[in-house]
Amino acid sequence: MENNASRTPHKIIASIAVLLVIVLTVFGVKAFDNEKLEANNSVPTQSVATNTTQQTPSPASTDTTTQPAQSATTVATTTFNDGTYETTISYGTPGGTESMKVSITLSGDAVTSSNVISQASSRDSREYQSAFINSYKSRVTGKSLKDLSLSRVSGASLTTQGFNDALDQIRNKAAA
Amino acid sequence: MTLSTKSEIKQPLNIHFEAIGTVWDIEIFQPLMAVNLLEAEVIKRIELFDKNYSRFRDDSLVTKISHNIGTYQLPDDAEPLFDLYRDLYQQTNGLMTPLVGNLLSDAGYDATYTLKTKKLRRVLTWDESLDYHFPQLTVKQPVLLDFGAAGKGYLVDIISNLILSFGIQSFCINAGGDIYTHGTTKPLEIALQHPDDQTLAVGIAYIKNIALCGSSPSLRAWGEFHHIINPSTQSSPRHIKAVWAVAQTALLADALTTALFFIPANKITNYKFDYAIIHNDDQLECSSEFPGEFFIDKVKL
Repeated sequence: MENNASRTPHKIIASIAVLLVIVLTVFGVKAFDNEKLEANNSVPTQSVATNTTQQTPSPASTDTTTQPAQSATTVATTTFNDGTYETTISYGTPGGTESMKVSITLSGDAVTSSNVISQASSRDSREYQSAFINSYKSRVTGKSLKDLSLSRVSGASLTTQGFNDALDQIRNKAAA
Repeated sequence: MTLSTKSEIKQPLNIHFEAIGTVWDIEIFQPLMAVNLLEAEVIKRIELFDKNYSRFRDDSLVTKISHNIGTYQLPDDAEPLFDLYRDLYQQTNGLMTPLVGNLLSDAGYDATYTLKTKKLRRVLTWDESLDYHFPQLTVKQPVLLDFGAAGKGYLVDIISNLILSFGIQSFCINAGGDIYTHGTTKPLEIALQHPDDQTLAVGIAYIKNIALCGSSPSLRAWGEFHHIINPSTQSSPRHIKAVWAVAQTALLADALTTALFFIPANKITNYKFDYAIIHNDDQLECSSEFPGEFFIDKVKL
């Protein structure tokens, strides 16, 4: 019963910028972890890139030797390891330092789910963060109606044959 | 009005036909002996509504009003429709208006669907053309009224009451995407169609004992226009790809899907409703209690 996010172009640009910062920060942290992981376990480089579950350094196990072979087919297709990553982002504002806690889940190099928890202390920052949280993940996408197997559909009011015929006629004229 | 009817005797019962420019599906979720009688009554009631309010037929009250000024006795069912139009006319500063009929017709959305644009006439204001005191309507200048923004929803409510009068307690009416469900044990799942691709859904609504109406310029569009035209700019709004509204009546839900093309949801007062809007950049705007879910894009890295 309320209007969620005020949608000025300004805020959208700001939101995109913040999202970029988040992604870069999270992967910056992750890349650093990977390096540590590599150093600690002496895992071959390609296994870091193709490993599907490891997020924290773990002792070398028998798995390590089999992983490159198991996931050889995915070497060329994924850049990041699947899994959930978390970080806290801080940034300076005129009112002091503010932060947000961000977690994202990756699967096949795509963010499949994400969550941002506002930790802002000032009212203004809370408002901006909430506008960002509402807008950054709100771009809709489609799923096949066939796969959903729902028989009832709401959208553009279905047109009758008469209207469709009229449309065909002007299209034909335009093409002639 | 052309009607093609077909009913199948099975559970659930299904009544399917075309009327008032769209496709109807009525599902009855309980055994019913008098299905043919119900179907006949539904079609008769739709015909009566069409004969009063359609601007697409020569013999309608609306067409008569467009030719002759004077004072008319409105049909018994006109009050909720006119009251809502009057209120939303004021709330949208005259942008949502039943007086848009001439403009829609000039743009090509006329009785014979010429879809050819003629010279666009200025849309008259309510006060210079109409004087409304139910049950009377005084028409001061010839004007073609258009009830396309809320008429279909209102007709869904009327048919719903007719079905209830048959003692039927569990049913779903779908008039080309304007849907009312009643008395189902679980909420019905309704696919929310992607405005750019009819084979996709952007989400699912879950509705029970409530109306869900949708509006999108994607189908009823020709040339530079679609079925909604802003009387002030004389152009079709392009900032929204799709709107859904959920309300207690289909009349209200249907009307709001057009009103939301003209004013932000938080500026609409007097009514309890939920809504979802897909803006032309695919951004979703949605009330917090909207009974459904949306598929949100994955961010590709």
